[in-house]
Amino acid sequence: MSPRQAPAWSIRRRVLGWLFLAMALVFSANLTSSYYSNLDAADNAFDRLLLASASAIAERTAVRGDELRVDIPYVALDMLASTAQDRVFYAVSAPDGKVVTGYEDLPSPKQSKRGGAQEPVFYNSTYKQAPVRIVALRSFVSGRKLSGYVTIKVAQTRGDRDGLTYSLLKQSALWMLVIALAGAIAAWFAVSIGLRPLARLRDALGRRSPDDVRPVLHDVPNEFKPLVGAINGMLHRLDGGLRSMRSFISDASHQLKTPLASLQSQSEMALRETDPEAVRESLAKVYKSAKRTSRLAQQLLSHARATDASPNFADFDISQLIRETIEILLPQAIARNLDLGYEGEEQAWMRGDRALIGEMILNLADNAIKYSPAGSVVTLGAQMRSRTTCLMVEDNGPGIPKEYRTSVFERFVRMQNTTAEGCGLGLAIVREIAQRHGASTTLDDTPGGGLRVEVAFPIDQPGGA
Amino acid sequence: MTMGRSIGGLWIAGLLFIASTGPSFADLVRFEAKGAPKERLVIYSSTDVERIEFLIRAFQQKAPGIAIDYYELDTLDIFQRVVDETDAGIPTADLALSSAMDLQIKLVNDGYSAPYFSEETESLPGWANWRDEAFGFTYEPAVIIYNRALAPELKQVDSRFELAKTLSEQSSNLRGRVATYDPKHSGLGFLFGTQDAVHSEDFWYLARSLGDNDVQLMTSSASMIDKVASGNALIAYNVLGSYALARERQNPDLAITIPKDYGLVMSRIAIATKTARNPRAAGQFIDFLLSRDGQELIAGPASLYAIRSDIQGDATARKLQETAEGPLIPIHLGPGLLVYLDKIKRKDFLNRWQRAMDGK
Repeated sequence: MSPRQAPAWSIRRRVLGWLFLAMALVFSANLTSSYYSNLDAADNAFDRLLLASASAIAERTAVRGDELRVDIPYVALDMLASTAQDRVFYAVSAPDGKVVTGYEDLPSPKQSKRGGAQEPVFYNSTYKQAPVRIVALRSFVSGRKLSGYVTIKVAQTRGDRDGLTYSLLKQSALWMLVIALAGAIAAWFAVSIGLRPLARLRDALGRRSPDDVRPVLHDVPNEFKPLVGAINGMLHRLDGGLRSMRSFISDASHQLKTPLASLQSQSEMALRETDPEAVRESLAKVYKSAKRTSRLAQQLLSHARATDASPNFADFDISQLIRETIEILLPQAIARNLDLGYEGEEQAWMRGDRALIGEMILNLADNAIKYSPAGSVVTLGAQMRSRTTCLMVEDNGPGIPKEYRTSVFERFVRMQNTTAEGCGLGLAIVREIAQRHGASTTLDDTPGGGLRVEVAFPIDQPGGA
Repeated sequence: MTMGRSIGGLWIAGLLFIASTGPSFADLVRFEAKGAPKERLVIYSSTDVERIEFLIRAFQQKAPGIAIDYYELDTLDIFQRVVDETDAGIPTADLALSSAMDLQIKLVNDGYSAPYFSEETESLPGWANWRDEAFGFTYEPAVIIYNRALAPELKQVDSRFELAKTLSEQSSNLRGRVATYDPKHSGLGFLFGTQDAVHSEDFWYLARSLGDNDVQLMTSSASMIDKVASGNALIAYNVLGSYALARERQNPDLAITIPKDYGLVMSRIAIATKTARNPRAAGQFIDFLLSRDGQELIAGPASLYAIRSDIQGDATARKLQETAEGPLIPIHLGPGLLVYLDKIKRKDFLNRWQRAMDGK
């Protein structure tokens, strides 16, 4: 592995990563909400004490004569002595708002309730540079010369409240940590257990012999079924490939055996001849056989190439390719006194492997030349249609009867009572290449009784894949 | 001295006249550093310098680089100066040592002190440490003293009720010859009086009895002890035990009784100020006051009663707890002490006291 490679991909790490991310989000939301609810709980608990203190003062506030008397009970402030030793402030103001005793500048509630409301108001503020919780309590006093609501404010620094809030918060944070840890451990083992079938699958596949392409029948979790399905699909294709490869090899060796055997016997005969004329005749036969065998070998090679090579797709003008092929075959056609020509569009564009298509044209044209009687016409053409680009080859040879039109595409299948030299691979190669290009091949009669072959290549939709 | 103060004005207005009646002087005693002077610690204290100089010298043995400016001030002055100087942003003391527990608590409550935390402050009992800002370093009982030579029968006066009863019965004998603190003019007297009013059912009965007997109202323990020693008074109530103990050692005529109904215990309070220029030295001094060495000196030459329970001797919390017949009630540091600083509350208390003195 090169050092620059990305860190190894791990399901476990990803699962844990996502788990922690989700937990972090949930926990921070939870902590925030529990912070506020704890703050609320702490305030509720300590507010009651604050109110009790204010009420104790209120109880001892009265009008005596023409004066407002406030007798702060010792317990009113002493009860606020807390574990956090919070500081305590208070103020009592007369109905006219004037502070009678206590801390004059103790903050008042933002909206002072008017009228007879006796509900105590709790609020947060800052006093003497410390955050404080204040209760403001209105209490009615009445005397001969003075009557109205006095306001009693008692304040306490937030030490105890914050202490309680944070201890509650710490507790819930601790629990969340425990949950996170438990989750991580569970996820760790769940991934191990979840991946165990995969390990079994790996072992099973590892034990297989190279030619064992039976489908995998292991019981796997649902999540792996598509994977196993894909593996099985691939194995199936591999099986087909292997089968056709084997049958091709056996066919090929069988096909090569016959011409080689005849080569052998012909050359033996030639060796036995003494008459130079007879020798020459025999050698001509040997030459012919060798040429046929060589042609067969070449066809086998091109068939193999059409089957195996990974095609190299590009856009090209097939009419151009057809004309080039005609030029190659022209001497052969002239030799047989055939009229070989092109009839079709100036340009016909398609997408495909140019070399393979060339091979296809060559095979089709070669067949037409071979099977057409002397003096006949062989026409190659190309045509662009709405969805396809068509290659057409027409001859006025004997044609192929309907019953053979499927089987002629099989390897080494030749129609009976044909005289022409052929090895039966030409159309097989054509079919192979056509399949590679997703093209359809049609065999048809021509009006004159000859054969018309049409290969239709699909044109990719503009903007399509 | 006006009432236009923005902070604490209401509180202080009622107290100011105490200060204005007494001499508001500041006795500065400088203790130069033993070694090369590096820093200066400024202390405002209500404790007589003679009683504390052993401590200061011992401290300087340990911290030779610290020079100490010791201002001996009235308790109210200490409070007022710290508040005024802090508010005005001018240098104030690094450390305030005061017997006025309520005023010290008010300094802390109103935010004029700084927290200090150490092993020594940690080991203080809970009631003697408030917010890690106010630290009690003595354990001084309020006691009854009487003249053993002139009135041996006063030995039986061992509680507030007994004192009040004796005053009512033997009015001829004790009239004019009983002394106590003047709560109107003494911060400590006010503290003792208000604490008694909280704790004792008999306090107002006692106050009326004292008034009926033309009690001599004094502003210091020393003067009460002088009165009893000289025979001008036979008995004095709520005398600071630390002062009495020191005098008892020299004068066998003096006898000390800790009231058996309960013995009120006050603590001198040390606080480091918020704007201290030398908080480190202030902390060092607090640690020394609470250390074994410091407490040994408090129990010994200073006879201020050591608060630590691991110190042996006459002037120690331990000895007091062992010998006291009744419960000892230390005045707890906490917001409760603020109550009697309330203007109206104070006025009410003093009015009631005055009515008792007037025999109404």
